[in-house]
Amino acid sequence: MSLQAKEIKKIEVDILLMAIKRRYGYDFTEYSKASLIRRLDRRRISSNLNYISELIPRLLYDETELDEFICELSVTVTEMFRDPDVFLAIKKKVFPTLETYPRIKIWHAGCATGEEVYSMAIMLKEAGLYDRVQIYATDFNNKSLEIARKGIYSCQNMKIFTSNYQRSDGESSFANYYHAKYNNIIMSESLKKNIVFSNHNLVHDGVFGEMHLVLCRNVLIYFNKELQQKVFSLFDECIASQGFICLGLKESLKFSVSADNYELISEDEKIYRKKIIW
Amino acid sequence: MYKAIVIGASIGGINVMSILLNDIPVDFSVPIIVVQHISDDRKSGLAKYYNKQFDICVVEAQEKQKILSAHAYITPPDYHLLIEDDFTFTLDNGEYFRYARPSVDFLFQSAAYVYKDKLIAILLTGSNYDGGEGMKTVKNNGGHTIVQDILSSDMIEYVMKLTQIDNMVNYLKKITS
Repeated sequence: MSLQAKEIKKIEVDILLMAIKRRYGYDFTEYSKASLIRRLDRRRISSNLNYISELIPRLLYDETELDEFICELSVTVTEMFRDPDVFLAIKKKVFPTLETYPRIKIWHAGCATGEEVYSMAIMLKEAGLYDRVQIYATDFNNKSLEIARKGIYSCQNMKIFTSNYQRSDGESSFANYYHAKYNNIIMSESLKKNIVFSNHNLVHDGVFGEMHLVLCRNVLIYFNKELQQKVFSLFDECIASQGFICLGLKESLKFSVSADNYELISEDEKIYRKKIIW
Repeated sequence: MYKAIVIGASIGGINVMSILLNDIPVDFSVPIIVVQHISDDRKSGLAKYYNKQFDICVVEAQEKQKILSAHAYITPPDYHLLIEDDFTFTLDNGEYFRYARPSVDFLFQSAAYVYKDKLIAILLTGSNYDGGEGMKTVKNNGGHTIVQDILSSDMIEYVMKLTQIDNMVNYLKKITS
């Protein structure tokens, strides 16, 4: 690709993003460009098109294209007890504080298909905290949310799930939390009781109450620095004094304007605690 | 004058990478960015290991970090590594590509868009054909492509079918000199 072609591609991407923003209100303009362009190219190739700009008329005139497009752009890779050390660290370093509250509020921002939300629910149950908790699990991808709400997952990954559960210091058997049927598992109703799954877009939606723990793992890496800052401010607005935030293993509050308000309490697991606000 | 070197290697490439990094003079001037497939150990200390072994500065590439000359960057395990227009890194935790995460193709392609003809891409060892598409993009953008001739023959054949290879090396000193 010549230099010129690359510049043309940039124009195509800009126009496409503007079209989606004006037509549907979804704003991807502050996403990390390198990841975004890779996904747009994948969409272009799977649609048998030569140019990214050819995606524009389809998106503008066919609303059903939007869902698929959003699925393509949002990364839904996750698993039960993903990064078991993180869950272990939450149990050891965050739960003792949560235990002291009569009501506990937790926000999973960017929950994708919900596996980590159910993992958290299981841990809270085992710690005897579940009845006091309200979990808000949000994502901007409605298809993912639908899967999360149903709590139905393929048996295919059971080995990993079970091993992750054990490595997270699970106190019982993972099999106690689901029913298996036709190569699928469905998570127990008792886990769903205190979880609200709802649509929320970190790019433009606001906060909805004070939180004791916010989990936002492997979401911010898809945003550019400016949008990361905005989202950090959003979290800062809602995290209670001495509340916690847990990021992805390779994410950090380091570049955030609110970094001074937090101390890193678990370095490898990227768990931060907000300092006391007087 | 080249502005960056990207290197792709599979699990078997650790020894080769060691020879290569050992040969790099301490005052080398361009950034070296390495994708190395490793076993699924998410806490791999590969960057630390290399950094201890050699005189040059080897670090793990970090999210939104500015790419500096005279540094060697290793892709963190279990993430794809991409390069932005402003010469910073972006990590990507998306799907595996050709059974790989990190993917050599993804790094090479994004590097090719940014560095264009100022890029050298070296494919040391390969698995599941990861790296071929990336080499093609590097070449199409005017970059310089090098493969090691100890690559498995079907991998070499695959890459050569896709694109032009500028150099075949065996003794890695040839690359660094």
